[in-house]
Amino acid sequence: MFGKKRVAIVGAGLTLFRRRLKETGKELSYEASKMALDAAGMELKDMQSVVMGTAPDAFDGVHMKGEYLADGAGAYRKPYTRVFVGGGTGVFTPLAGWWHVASGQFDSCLVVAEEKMSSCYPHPQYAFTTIFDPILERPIGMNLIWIFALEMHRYMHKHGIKKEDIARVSVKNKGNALNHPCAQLGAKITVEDVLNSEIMAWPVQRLDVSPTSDGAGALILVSEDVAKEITDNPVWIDGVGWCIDSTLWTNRDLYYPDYVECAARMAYKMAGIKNPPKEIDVAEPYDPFDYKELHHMEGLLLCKKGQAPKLTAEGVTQRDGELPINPSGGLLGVGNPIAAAGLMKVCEIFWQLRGEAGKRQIPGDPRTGLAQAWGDLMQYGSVIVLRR
Amino acid sequence: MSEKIKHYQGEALKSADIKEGKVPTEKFRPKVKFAWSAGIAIGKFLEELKKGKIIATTCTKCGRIMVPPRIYCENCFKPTDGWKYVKDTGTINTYSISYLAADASRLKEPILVAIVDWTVLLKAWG
Amino acid sequence: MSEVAIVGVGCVGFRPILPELSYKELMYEAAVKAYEDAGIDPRKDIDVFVTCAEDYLEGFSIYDEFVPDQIGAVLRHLFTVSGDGLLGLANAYMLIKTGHFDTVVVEAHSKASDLLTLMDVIAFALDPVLNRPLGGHPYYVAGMEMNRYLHDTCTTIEQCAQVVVKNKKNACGNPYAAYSANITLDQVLCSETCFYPLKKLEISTPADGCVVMVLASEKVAEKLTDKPIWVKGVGWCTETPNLETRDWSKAADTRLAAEMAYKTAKIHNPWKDLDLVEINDLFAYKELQHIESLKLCEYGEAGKLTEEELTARNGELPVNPSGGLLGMGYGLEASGTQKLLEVVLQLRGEAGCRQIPDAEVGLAHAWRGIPTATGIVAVLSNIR
Repeated sequence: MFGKKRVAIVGAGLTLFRRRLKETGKELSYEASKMALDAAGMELKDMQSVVMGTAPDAFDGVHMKGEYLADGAGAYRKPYTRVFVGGGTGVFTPLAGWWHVASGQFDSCLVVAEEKMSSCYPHPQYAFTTIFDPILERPIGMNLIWIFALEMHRYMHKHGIKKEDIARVSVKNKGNALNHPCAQLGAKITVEDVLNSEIMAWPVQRLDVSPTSDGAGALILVSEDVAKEITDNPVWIDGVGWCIDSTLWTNRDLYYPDYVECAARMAYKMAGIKNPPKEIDVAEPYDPFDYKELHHMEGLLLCKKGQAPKLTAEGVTQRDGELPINPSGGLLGVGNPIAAAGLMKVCEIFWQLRGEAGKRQIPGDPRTGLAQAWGDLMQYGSVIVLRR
Repeated sequence: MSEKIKHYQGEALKSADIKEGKVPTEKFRPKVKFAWSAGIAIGKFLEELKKGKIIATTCTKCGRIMVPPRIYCENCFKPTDGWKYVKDTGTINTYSISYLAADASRLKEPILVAIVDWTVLLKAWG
Repeated sequence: MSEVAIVGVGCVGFRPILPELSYKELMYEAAVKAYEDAGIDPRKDIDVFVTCAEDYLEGFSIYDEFVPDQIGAVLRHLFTVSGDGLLGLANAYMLIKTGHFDTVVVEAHSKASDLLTLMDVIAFALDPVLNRPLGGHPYYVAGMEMNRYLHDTCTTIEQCAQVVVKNKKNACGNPYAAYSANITLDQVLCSETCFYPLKKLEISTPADGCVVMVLASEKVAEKLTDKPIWVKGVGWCTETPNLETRDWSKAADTRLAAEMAYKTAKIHNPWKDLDLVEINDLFAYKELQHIESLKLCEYGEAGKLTEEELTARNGELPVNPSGGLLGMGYGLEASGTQKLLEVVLQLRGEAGCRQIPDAEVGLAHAWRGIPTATGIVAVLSNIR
């Protein structure tokens, strides 16, 4: 990174994640932004630019919802951009904030991610019908749950993984979420509970899945010079990566996310990471379904293909394990407001690296953390590497 | 969590709060209609489907036979080289049994969905 | 820190409709042209791809899902900016300035003909609680703004209509224009009043088309082309989404965006320093309002400048020599790139019969349309 500008995160904010919140999208954006500014000891006038990440307009029910949310995100008379890469948005938005500052164009950037899925009737799931190709796919009446089920089944088939091995992730994450103040579905459950839960689209069962949620998060990004003035404890964005695969997701083998590996390699190269399992102290891979945590651990090169279930069974990925994965409770436990979920993971790594994660704090002295989000039609990966 | 943060904002509502009018709500159904041009490749694909046939395009550089057909090979980034009919048999790559409809309501009869590798399709990516 | 240049452009359209191509095929054709122009292989030479789109204009949620294949971005680094193509340029500019990326592609298109209810979608962007329930065609917002603008500046409706005459005539020399025409001032003034005082011929009509641009860092640009067009400065700003709290006669978003761009580009006297400007004229009065907010003249003078033909193609400062949106067609989120295309062609000396002699510095501007107050400005030059 020598010679290139460094960017630090100096504050984070998060609202509660719930199935249905009274606050409007603008209000949620405001609450999260205000929290982040207060945490950093800064004011809106100190922010030179704003980046918003928010997923399908169909949820909030407003066309150009980036514009609609601009005032809630503090973007009054400021340079404002909305970026959007489906589920990958939550981790991608801080990447966009990163280049706002790393380019030298701005010294500070307020990064906000918001989602208000509950506005969509009869159920937010219905909005997902429009992510599919209108000529080739929509006439089949596709459903988000069963495209994940297809991927899950392929992953299980390829490596001979049983449902029990996957269910452990849900147990771990929902348990972890009990210590997260914003969590929607923190709970103490067992593997049997998962295996006995309602079948949605085999092999996906109800307790394998994260909920739909409303929520927002925000981060304050500043240049190195500003960071040194305002805090002793900046968290540096040392690696950024993102990658998209072909639209035709049915044309490749779903057992492995190449696009996550591609994004991870981009981020690791920038961060100078050569041995991820050894050099990463804590990771927050995207877990909208429990098997996705395993799928992504492998894509992030944190373990060999097919080995993630074994590490989970051995307790390696618990908070006190060798490689804590999703100490926050992930999407399974905290909630899944599409864009804000990824940002929640970045907030978690931020707090973990600073030793501010309270009851969720992983032991030791974590210095390097990673957050990853997944999006689109089984095709997008965004990765951020943070260091203290 | 960060010591500075004492309070996390968010007032949760129940579905009953909205049904019973306990919170003011505004309902709207947008008029959003599209008529997407199928274009050259998919236009031909749909015509052939009407005749009961499945047509693909081919790329001589990477050797793939592609369904659905397209006018460009996305791997080589060059125009595709020709058309070829494909058999209507294949191997199941993965499948699922879905009990949910598109709006998350439960179906009385589950539906079986699968991804099929076409018999003539060569390995997609090296 | 590296300079940033545009090294390749490709455009298909703009036409009233392009039904023979699907949106994917349209993007593929424009991308092929841009990559050939730049002399690059997208599978090897491009670091980042940026697509600029809004879900509801395309008919898909999460639009970037449907983009990679046709522009060469499979298993590459792509993302969507939900905004105008010129905002995509701003982000591409920043990416190259970080020093981590050398070549970035920006794509924006309009397949307005696939969208059967464009005005309903535009109305869908209004505030769902405070504005949308009032109903009506959303362009009443433009009528209200025009009324306030005319009142505050004493601009006449004839001066607004003159913009239409100028731009549609300029479009006659533009192979990329969809709605070129030789019309008279009377024809514009006699056209149906749609949203008082806005008349039918003063409203740009949607068109289909796609523009792809290739940007590169200094060291790569110098290898690829001997006609790099340098991006000297970019600015962008959102005033507010709220109709109730915005400035109704001055386009504050454009003024703030211009100040930001001029600062980096070291433009001190815009009227003198710029050789051509391509600015948003979605509605005829908007061209005048934007001339003022771009500080090309004092507040209230743009009407007179137009009347005196100082903004004609052979005038002192040509405004919209391409024909603008009134002449080229309203390319939705590609509007800013329609303007960028013209500036690049002019600065390269490739604008055919529209060529402005000795053009060295140009400005491209975008406004995101009703009901936004978001403006983006880019200053370009063929001199480093």
